[in-house]
Amino acid sequence: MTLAIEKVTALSEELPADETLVRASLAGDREAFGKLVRRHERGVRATCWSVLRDHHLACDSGQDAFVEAYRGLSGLKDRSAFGGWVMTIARRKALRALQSRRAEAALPEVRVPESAGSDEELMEAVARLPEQERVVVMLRFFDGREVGEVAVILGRPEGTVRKQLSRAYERMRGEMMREMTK
Amino acid sequence: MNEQEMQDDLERRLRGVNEALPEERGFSERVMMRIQAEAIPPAREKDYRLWRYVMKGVIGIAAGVAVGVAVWHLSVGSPRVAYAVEDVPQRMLGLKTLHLKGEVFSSDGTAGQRIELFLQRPGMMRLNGVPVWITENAGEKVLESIDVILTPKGRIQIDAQKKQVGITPETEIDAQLQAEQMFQQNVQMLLGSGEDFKKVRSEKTGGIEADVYESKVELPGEKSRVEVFMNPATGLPVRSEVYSTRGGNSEKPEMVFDTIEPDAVIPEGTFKFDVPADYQVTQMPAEFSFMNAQVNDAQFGVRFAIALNKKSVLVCWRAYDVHRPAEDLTFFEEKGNQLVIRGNGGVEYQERLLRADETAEGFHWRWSLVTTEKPASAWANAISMSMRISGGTTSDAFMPVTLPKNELADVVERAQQVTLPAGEKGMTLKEIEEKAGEMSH
Repeated sequence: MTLAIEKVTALSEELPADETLVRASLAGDREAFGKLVRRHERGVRATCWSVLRDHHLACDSGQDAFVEAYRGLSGLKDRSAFGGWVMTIARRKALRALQSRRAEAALPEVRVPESAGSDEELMEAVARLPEQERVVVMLRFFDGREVGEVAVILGRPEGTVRKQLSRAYERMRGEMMREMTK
Repeated sequence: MNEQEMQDDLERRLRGVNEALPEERGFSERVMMRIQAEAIPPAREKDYRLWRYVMKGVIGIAAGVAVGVAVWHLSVGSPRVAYAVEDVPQRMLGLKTLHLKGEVFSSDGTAGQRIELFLQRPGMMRLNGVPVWITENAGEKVLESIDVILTPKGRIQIDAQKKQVGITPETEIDAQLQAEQMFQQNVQMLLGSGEDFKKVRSEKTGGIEADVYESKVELPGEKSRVEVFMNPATGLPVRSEVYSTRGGNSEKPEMVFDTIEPDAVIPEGTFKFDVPADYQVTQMPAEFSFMNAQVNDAQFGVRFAIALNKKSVLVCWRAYDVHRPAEDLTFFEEKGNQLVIRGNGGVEYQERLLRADETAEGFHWRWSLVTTEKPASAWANAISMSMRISGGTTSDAFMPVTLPKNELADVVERAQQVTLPAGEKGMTLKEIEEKAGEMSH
C-alpha cells in the first residue's frame, strides 16, 4: 500500500496543473500542449463517441477539437477550466460531423439530434461540471483510479474527493433532468 | 429510484462510456503533427501591456495600439541648444533609421529581458530578444527569446535555443506598412502621450545632464507613465523609462530604453540571416503575418489600417466562418453577430464597406472606411474593432499608419493591389477621400 501511494505521489508530481500547462502552451511550449492532449484525450473521445457512436469519426472530431483549442487557447479566460472547455468544443465538433454525415447520406433529417442516446447527455453534463468536480469524475471513471488514488493525485483529502464526487453526481442528475424536461 | 440507485446508475453509465472507448495509440501525436503540418501559429497569451502592443505585427500577436500622427513633415534638424519639447514626436517620426536597446520587464516587474531594435525606412526591421514569458510559482520568467527580421522579401523568426527558423513570405507593401507601424509605435512608446510633457527634474545619464519629462498614457486595462530623458543639446531623447499600473496594483517598471540612437548607421548585414545547417526551417503561410483572432469557427483580422486624416481610416480586414468562408459578406447580418468599433475613451466609429476582394479560400478582403466625428488625440489614437458572436467576443486594437501626404496616394494604391483580382484597378485616394467626406456629412 505504501508503495502504491508512493507511486501515485510520484505520478502526481509529474502532473502539473492544467493552468500551468495552458500558460506554458501560451508561452509557446508545444510540449506542454501535448501533455494537455494526452491528459484530456479520453474525455474528449468519450464526448465525441457519445454523439457519433463511431470510434473513427469520434477520433477525427476529437483531433479537430484539440486543434481548435490550440488555435483559440489565448481566449480561454479560466485556464484551470481547460478540460471542460475542450470537451465542449469536442461536442460541437461531433455534432457538426454528425450533421455532415447525415447530409452526405442524404437522409431527410439533417438537424442536430435531440440525443444520440443518453450517453451524450451524460458527457455533456460531465463537461459542464465545475472543474474541481469534473477532474475527479474523469480520474475516477476515465483513468480508472480508486478514490484514494484520486485524492493523492489531486492532493486533496479522500473525504473531500468523495464529497466532490457526490456533488458531481447531484449536479449531473440535475443537468440531465433539465435537459429531459426542455 | 432512490438516491443510491441513481448514483449507481450514473457510475454504471460512466463506466460503460469508458469501456466503449478502445485504446487509441498515437492520438496525441497525430494532434501535434497536425498542428505542426498546418503551421498553426503558436497560441499566444493576450496581454495588453504596452510592450505587447509593440509586438503586434512582429510575431503575429493580435494586439496593437493606434498612434495617429497627423503630420511628420518636420525632419530631424541639426543640433540646437533650445528645443521645444512639443516638437519632439514629429522630429522623431521624421527619422530615416532608429536604433534602440533596452530591457523589458515581466508583468510583475521582477524579471527582465534585454532587447535590441533596428528600424530602417522603408520596410526593414530587426528585433532581437523578443521574450516568451512563462509563469511559474515564483513569478514570471523568460522561457526563451526569439529574433525577428522583417524585410520586403519576407519575415524571418529565429529561435536560436530550439535551432528553429520560421520564414513567412511578405509583399513589399505588407512589409513597408508593418515596419512603419513599428516605427510609429516605438516612437510613441519612447515618448508616452507626447502631448502633456511635464519637466520633473534634471538627471545625469550617459554623461549627459538630461531634462527629464514625464508623460502619461491611458490604454485599455492599464495606465502608463513614461519618463523621457531629453538631451538639451539635440532636443532628442537619450533614455526612456516606462512604468505601468494595471488594475489595483502598484506601479511597476515595464521597460527601460537605455540606448536611443536617432538616424543611427545600421550595421551591414543586420537584416540578413544565413540559416545554420543544423537549424530546422519551417515555411510559414502568408497568413501568419496578418493580425488574426478566432472565436469558435469565426476568423477575424486586420491587414492594413491607413490613416487618411484625423477622422478617417482606410481598413483592409476580414471576418468569416471557416466552414462557410464564401458567405462572409453577410456574416454580420446573421443573428447574434455584431461588429463594434471604438476609439480611445469609447469614441464610436462607423464602418462603410467600399469594396470586397474575393480570395482563393472563398472569403473576401474587405476595404472599409472607418470614421468618427470625435477623434481622440492625434497622437494616441487607439481604434479597437470587435467581433461579437454568440460564442464570444474578440477585439483587435490597431494602429492606423500615418503617411506623409506625398506618399499616401501611392501607398493606398499599392496596398489595394495585393487583394485585387488580376487586372482590376483599385480606388484612387481622391475617390476614397470623397466617400469619407460623404460619411462625415
